[in-house]
Amino acid sequence: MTTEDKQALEQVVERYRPTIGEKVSVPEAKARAVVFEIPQRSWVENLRPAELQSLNAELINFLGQEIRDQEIRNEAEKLLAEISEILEGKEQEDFSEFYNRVNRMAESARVIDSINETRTLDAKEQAQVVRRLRERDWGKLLGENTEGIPNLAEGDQVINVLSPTDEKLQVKFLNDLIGMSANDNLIEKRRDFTVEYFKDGLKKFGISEEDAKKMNLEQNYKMGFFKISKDQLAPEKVNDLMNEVCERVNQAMKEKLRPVIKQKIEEWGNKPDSNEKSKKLKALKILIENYLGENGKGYKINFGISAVEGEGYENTVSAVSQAMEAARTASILGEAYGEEFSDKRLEKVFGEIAAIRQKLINEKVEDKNGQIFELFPDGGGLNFKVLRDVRKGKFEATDTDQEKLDNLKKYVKCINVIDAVKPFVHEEIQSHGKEAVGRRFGGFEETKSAEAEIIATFEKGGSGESANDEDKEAWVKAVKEVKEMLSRDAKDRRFTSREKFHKEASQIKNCAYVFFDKIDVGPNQLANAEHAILDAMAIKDKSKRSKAIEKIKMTAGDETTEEMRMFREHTVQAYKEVFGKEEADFILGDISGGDEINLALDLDRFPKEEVDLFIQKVQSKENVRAVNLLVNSNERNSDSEAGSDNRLKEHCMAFKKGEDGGDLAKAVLEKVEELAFALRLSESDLKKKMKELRLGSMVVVNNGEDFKIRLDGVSKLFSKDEAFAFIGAILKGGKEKS
Amino acid sequence: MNYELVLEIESLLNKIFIFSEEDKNGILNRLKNEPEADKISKIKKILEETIEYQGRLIERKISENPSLLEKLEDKKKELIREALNKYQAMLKEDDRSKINTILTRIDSL
Repeated sequence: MTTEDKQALEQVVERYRPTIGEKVSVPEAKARAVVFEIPQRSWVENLRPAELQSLNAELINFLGQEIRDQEIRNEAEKLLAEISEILEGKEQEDFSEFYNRVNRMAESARVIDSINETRTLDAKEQAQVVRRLRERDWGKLLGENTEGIPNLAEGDQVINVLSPTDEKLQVKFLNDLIGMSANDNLIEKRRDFTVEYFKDGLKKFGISEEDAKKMNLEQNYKMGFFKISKDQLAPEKVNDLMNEVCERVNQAMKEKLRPVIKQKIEEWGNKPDSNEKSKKLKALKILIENYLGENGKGYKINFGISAVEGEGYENTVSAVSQAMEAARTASILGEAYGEEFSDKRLEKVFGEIAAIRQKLINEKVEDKNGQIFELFPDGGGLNFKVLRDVRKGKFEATDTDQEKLDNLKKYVKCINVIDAVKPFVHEEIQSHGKEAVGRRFGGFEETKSAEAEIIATFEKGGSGESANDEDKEAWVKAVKEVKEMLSRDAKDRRFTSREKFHKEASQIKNCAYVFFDKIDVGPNQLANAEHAILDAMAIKDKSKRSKAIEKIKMTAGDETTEEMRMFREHTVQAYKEVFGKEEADFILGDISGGDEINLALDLDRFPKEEVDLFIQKVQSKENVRAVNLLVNSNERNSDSEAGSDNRLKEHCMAFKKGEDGGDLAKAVLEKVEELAFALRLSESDLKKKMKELRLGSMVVVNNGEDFKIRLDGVSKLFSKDEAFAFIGAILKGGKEKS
Repeated sequence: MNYELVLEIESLLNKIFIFSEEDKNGILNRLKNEPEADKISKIKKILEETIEYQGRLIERKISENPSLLEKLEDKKKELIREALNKYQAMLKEDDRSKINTILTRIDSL
């Protein structure tokens, strides 16, 4: 290169510096200059602009071909999906759905606030309050009537109806594919059909609609529960009845689902304009061809039956758990729609787990990014990362490893047979019984019959002028109880209910939102179940093995329940220590699904430094991702009236933004895993490096601009790429040393 | 059409090498029919971030594989030569000497 050209290049390099700041190094600026600055080089000044443009485009393409590897393709796909979502207006659609849901919750909280001792509720308000009272625990499963008689008693057969477990028909998958609103409608249809055909089926056995109505205990988005006493219908007849119900639901749901799927296919046309859409279109077509056609797999729901064998909560909980397990067993073994619970069948599923593990014990699986995973490292349980991704349906194996992946999916589904997280643990049921359940359900002291009385009072609709003295007295008492009960969370009364949270948080002008997300709760629960099952199946002595299996059945989900309680406990403790005891009596927080706690803190009352300290204290005890989003008063339209639509929208926007922060935190943790794998870091090396990385103290913060990552003891705030570079540098350092 | 904005997007897309040509054309065609300026601005922001990401990516790739920069330089020379040859064919005789001077200089790089 001549001196003149060298100088020209240096000039170009220099020109780039100020535009992208200090982050740009010389090699990068040089590379950029090569690619982007050709038109400005003196020795091509005679070229026409059009020719230069095509020259530039060709160089860009060349560069792409040279360096576009799997990692870059993945990143590109994510960015393209993001662009696609904006163009399709999915962002707005998601936001409207979220806003509508929050609005309904805030409205419900307003109704609760407006109830007073003399007010009569209108029909809509009345239905709303009663529904919320009923939703507070496991529906009517452990409830009692006003005379204190349990809803489920000895001799009752509990029937659990489970929504489809096929991965292509699961709630989350369909939410993604056809949208939440459309799927919500389908879920509602499925519930309605199940109840309708159940009642219809009972008519044949001479059971009136009125009686059948009482047998319907609960229907939620994932499953439903019915009861029939043995005196009313013998077990084999219940089996026939439920097989018929499920078959009718299957046929009816196929008819409902088909037009929805076809409409989506038409809407998107046959020419998808993004990879994401193309994947979805493929999934939609699979549904039509393999599931909803004449000989398709259908919309298969499952049922399980188990009888309550004695008095007391222990027997009731056992029957409920077993009915759920039987439904899952049926879905795995797949011969009929459902079955009565039997230990043998459960053991058969456990046997499948052991058999698949045996088959794959020394195998490895390769994903589409070329990463290879040892399936059962050191002969133990399933590789945690594989388990996590298979559970989420995110693991994409190479074509040659598809059979292994199918086996892994079955393995995870089998472990999930004992998935039943309850709001109490088995020991409490055994040692404290009724009172413990009453107390544990939401931490309220009232008995179940008192609760039934309250519901009955509210079903009457309140105290008008015409009410007699007795009714008025019952109303005054019930109003007080209900206001207290529905303002607080059903699992933990130290937190506000979700409805109250959204209503109150939207009124704070100067607000710090803190979102805690406990890491890997679901996969940990599965891994715990897997280990318990493998341990039990390794026991040679038959009776000892049966005992171990019995224990698994009864204690399933206990560890997760305890973990969730500790998570809440640590949050409350930190709250107390930082903001004071009184503040911690009623925390403005939304407990979401147990593994997430979202808090709204009024910065006019709690200084920002205290908020930071609070987060730090929780993180010192819990493995949580924390997102801290500050919403300042100038972001909230101060002209909007507190409680107005605008205020609520601003609150929803902040909440949605919190999700972006959560995604960033997730991406950082995923990067660590990815790099640790690529660098073949040993577990002990990684542990050491994790300390250096300080990710236990990672907080994603946003002060109105983009999200940044803050680490304990590091004054710099990292952007995503800077965080990746930091992780890379520390992990690579680890490799060199080793 | 939000003409100005779409032009800006086109210019940004021209600098992006992590997307395929097909993807880039797809984005541009859809944007030409997009009435909401807000959506286009959001996409513009993503593309700007993409270019920043590419910058860091090149740096990393070059540090992993120093010959990449040479390859780029070679490709650049090859392309310029091709373009100049085409251009030269279109020029009158008396301009040829000017181009020859440029080519000599390129060869000396």
